Amino acid sequence: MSTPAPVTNPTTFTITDPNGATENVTSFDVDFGRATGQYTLTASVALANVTVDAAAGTYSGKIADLHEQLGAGAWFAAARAVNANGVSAESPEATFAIVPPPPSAPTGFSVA
Amino acid sequence: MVQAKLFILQTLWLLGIAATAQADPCAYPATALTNGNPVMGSNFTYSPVVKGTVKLEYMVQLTCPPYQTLNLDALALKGSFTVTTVKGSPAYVRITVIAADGSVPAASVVLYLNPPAPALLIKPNRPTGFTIQ
Repeated sequence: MSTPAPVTNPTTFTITDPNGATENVTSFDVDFGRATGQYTLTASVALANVTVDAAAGTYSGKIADLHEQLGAGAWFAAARAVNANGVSAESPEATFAIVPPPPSAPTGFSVA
Repeated sequence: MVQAKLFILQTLWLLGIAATAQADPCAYPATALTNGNPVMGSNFTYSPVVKGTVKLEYMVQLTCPPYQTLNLDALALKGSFTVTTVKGSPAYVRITVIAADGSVPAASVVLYLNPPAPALLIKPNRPTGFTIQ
């Protein structure tokens, strides 16, 4: 069975944290990296910037709100929960790819 | 003469009644807790205990027999408080009960505090899932 291709140019993310409310989670850190388990970028996500589904224990938001300018290529990402006492370990990892759009067509072509 | 004796006897009898009507030194005091110990219903601090909101469990015993177990609600006092503490568990505070007329010997009571759940002091667990769409 082949590994499914990663998501290309994602726009949203969803963090599943059924303990978020009971543990007084105040925000999440989303980490990005070019290699699995090796993260070089971190974006902080306030609860005010996500949609909370208390019943499902999920927190959903927009990739664009993370304010991370990710270059073309494969990326690995994970989330950590934050409360007044510190930061949790990483969540399970997600993978995705940034594929730049094709260039625009030339505006002119002439032969002389 | 007889009337005078009757008057004296009546006076003595009335004085006797007044004497027995004085506050029983072991009676339950009518006033709320005072004297510098934490005034019930207010925030107070002490150490060493843990940080957070705790529920008080308490038993009041007066020093005079028979020992009485009193519900502090009978004193119109609040049964729970928000406390700011330092660390440690279990924790307690000593409250002194005194009578309104000061005739009751000070009786110390111990309030045992249930510390808040340990989860309040630890980091959050890792999220169980993270997906990108």
